[in-house]
Order: sequence, then structure tokens, then C-alpha cells
Amino acid sequence: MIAISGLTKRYGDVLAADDVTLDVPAGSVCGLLGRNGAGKTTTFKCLLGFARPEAGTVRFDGAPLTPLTFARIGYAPERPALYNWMTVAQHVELARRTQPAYDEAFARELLATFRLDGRKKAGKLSKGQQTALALIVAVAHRPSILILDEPASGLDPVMQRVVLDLLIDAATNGAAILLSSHQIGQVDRAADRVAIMRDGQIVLAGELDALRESSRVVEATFEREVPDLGGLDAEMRIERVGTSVRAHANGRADAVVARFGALGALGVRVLDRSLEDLFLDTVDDGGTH
Amino acid sequence: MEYVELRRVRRTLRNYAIVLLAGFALAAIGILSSAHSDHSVIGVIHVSDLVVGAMFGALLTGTIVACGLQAEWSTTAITWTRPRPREAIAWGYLAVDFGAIVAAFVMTLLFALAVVSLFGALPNLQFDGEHVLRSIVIGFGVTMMWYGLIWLVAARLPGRAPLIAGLSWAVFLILGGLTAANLPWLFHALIVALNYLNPLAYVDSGGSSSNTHPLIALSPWLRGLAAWAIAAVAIVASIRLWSTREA
Repeated sequence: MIAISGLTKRYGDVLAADDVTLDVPAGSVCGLLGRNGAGKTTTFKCLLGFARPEAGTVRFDGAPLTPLTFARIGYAPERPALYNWMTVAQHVELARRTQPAYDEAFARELLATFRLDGRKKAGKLSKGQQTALALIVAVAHRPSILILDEPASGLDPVMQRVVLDLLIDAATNGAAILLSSHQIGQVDRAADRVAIMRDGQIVLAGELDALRESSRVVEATFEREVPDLGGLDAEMRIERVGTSVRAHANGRADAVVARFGALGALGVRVLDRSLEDLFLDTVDDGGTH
Repeated sequence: MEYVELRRVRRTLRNYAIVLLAGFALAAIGILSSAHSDHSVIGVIHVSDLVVGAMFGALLTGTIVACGLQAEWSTTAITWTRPRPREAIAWGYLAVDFGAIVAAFVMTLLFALAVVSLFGALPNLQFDGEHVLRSIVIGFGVTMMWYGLIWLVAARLPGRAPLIAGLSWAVFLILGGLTAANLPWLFHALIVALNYLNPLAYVDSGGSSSNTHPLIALSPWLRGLAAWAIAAVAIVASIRLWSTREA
């Protein structure tokens, strides 16, 4: 389990991570979303000890980070960190020599799955292949904690699916996985919980199903103009367009449907919101930041 | 993580061996094409002089392999996510690099002996024990001092180790040369003070046939000790910087 509490990191005047609190239980995949510069990478750096936070704690399975914790952690950065002059096989050998729990058969399986030629130098690989190799180095010891920054970046759709399946398998086997991605479809497919960051803060977090449930929109159409909604405007975000009205129901879709029905709506429907809608709603700042 | 550094130094030593072999081949061609070789003309060759010459190989290799640890700044996602303390990783790199420096010294010494044998002058070799030991202590001390200073500066300027290593040759040579320049006393005093951090200032031409004086006016053993002490301080400080720096 990954437990982040009150993590705060400042670079000069910029508050890159502001009181970040987040739990990723074992057996769970948490998608960390946010626009560029929202604080995702800073959070990852603080998690891994690459940056020293001004405040807050990070615990892995209840204990703070020590060098030995890395025997249970797999980390793949946004830009693959590889030795361009070393071959694929040498990178795998490096993983074998440095991780006590290295799983030879698993590494071989991954090399075959990603179709990586062991003799090829890392610098000669395509971006997607480099991503795959960095991932193999990160997971070859079957870590119980995975921290992945854009794990499928540059991979073709087939390989993206392979990576997501890999993550889902790992979570099924009890791993706690924190991943960031700009490809919301990937997160939607792999994650069971999500946290959205904006300006260094987590502005929305929770189980994906619960967030979806609470973010449903109720749309109603009236015969003439939209009547007085009797206080709904104060309780939730309401959008009026002509004779139609959309209410962001904040988890009270059933009550809103009933209210619209009582007000004489001609038609009422409940719209499930996609993770992308949720994300855009949450981070939308008019494009000024 | 030493695996990566082992591969790096292996590549460096292989390239260095190729250079030495090419040098030996050129020397052989030159000698074979000459009419005769009379080793009695050459006179006595002190082993300590060969040791001083071989130290140049060690020094050159030292300034190259010193870039290894600092090159890890671009791969901290791998280096710093292994289940080992960062300090232990740095000490491991140091051990590998020191091995490479010793190997380069031995290779250069063998090269020098091979060239001497080409001249048929092996019988002229004279083992001068104390001078040999002194040259080894000062030579490796100077090499490790240079190595440590590169580490220290590069730890402050991540990713620039090769540039720092290259520039260090120019800086130390110029700094040494400036002591002979006719400068106002204040500048001269500054240059003399700076030369205490110049590895080349601890070197004389070394062996028993030496007739030059080092810039640091200390006895040979004290010079050796000082070079090793500066090396130790620089290395310990740079490991501290390396292990506490934010990526």
C-alpha cells in the first residue's frame, strides 16, 4: 500500500505539490491525472526520495522509504532512463544483478511479448521500444508497488493493451499501482481509482465508480422556458440552454430526476459521465493556467 | 550498479589498450627500420622512471573514468531505485574506477617495458626500490586527487562531468605554468595558493633521475600524503553531495 499524507514540495516560489494526500491500497490501480505542470512528477519524485518534501510523509506498506524498499518498488519514468550504449540484454542483466527478487522467466516472457532484440543497443531502439525496455527493467522483479509515469507512452495500441493488462494482472496479484497518463482512456481501462491534480493539489480523488456515480448529469427538457428550480441552483451547477436544463447532480441524480418530473419536464434523462468529462470539468480553468 | 561502471571502464581500457598497441607497433616499425640498436648507448634505466611514465596512463584513465558516477544523473530512475544506499553505489563505482586506474598503470608499465625490450635494453634496467615506492604513492595520490576533484566539481554541475574532466587538464596545466609568470605579488600568491589544489603541482619528474622540483615545496612523502588526503576529502564530499542531491 502507498500512503501519502500532507506532501508539500516547493521549488522557489512555486508550490509544486501542495498538501497532497492519497492512499493506494494493495490490489488497486490509481490513475494520477492532471495537466502538464500539475504536480504529478513532483509527487512521484517525493515518493521515491528523488526530491525532499518540505512537509508530509510517504509510507509503503506502513513503513517509510529506505533503500531496501526498492526491492519491492518498480518505477518507470516518463522519459525512459536507459544506457544508450548498453544492449537490451545488458539492461536485463543489470536488473538481474540489482534486484534480489528478479524473475528470469518473467523477464524473458516480457522481452518476447514486446519483441525486443537482446543484441540491440538501447540508443537504437524506437521510442516505444525504449518505453517497453524501461518497463521491463522496472517490473522484472515483480514489485508489489508500482509507480509509473506515462507507462505506455510511445507504444502502439497493441502494446499499450499489453501494458495495461500487465498492470491489471499485477494489481490482481496484490500490487499497489500508481500511474500517471495523459491518455485518459488507458487510465479508464486500468484504474479502479483516480486522483486529479491541479496546481499542485489533489482536487478530486476516489474510486472511479463512485466518482462516476456522483458526477452524473440530469438533463431535462421543458415545453416552454425552464421554470424556477426551487433552490437547485444553489445546490449544484445548473446549465440552461433554451428550454433545456442540465444539472450536475453531485450524487443526487435520483432526487433531481424526481424534482424535474415534478416541475413538469417533458423528458428527463440521466447522463453517465466519462472519466474524460470528469477530468476536463475538474481541471478546466478556461485555459488561462 | 557496478555492472554498468564495469562495462564503462572495460570499454575505456579496451580503447586505451588499442592506443598502446598502436604505439608499440609504431615503435617496433621505427626500431626495425633503423640500422642497429646498441643498448650500451642507452645507459641505465631506472624502474622508477618507467613507473612515473606509467602513471601518466593511470592519470589519463582516471580523468576518463571519473565521469562514470556523474553520468548516472541521466539514469537516476535506474540507479536510485535499486535496493542499495546511494553511498554504497558511489563507493562501488569508486572501487571499480580505482581498479581501472591500477589496470591502466600496469598496462602502461608493460607497454614501457615492451618498448625497452624492443631497444634490447632490458639488461639496462635498474630497480631502485625506494624511488619506485615513492613514485607509486605520489602517482596514485595525484591521480586520485585529480579524480576526486572532478567528482566534486561534477557533483555540483550534474551532467557536465566530461566537460569538467577535459577542462581540468587545461586548468591545471595553466595554473602550474602561471607560477613561473612574472605577476604582481598578490596574483602570484593567489596562484601559489590555488596550486595546492592542482594535482600537477605535487608531481616532479619522479624517479631517481629526477632533476625537477615540484611546485609544492614539501618532502616527497608529505606530498604523497597531502595528495591522498585531498583526494579523500574530495571523494567523501562528492559522495555526500551525490547521495543527498535532488534529481
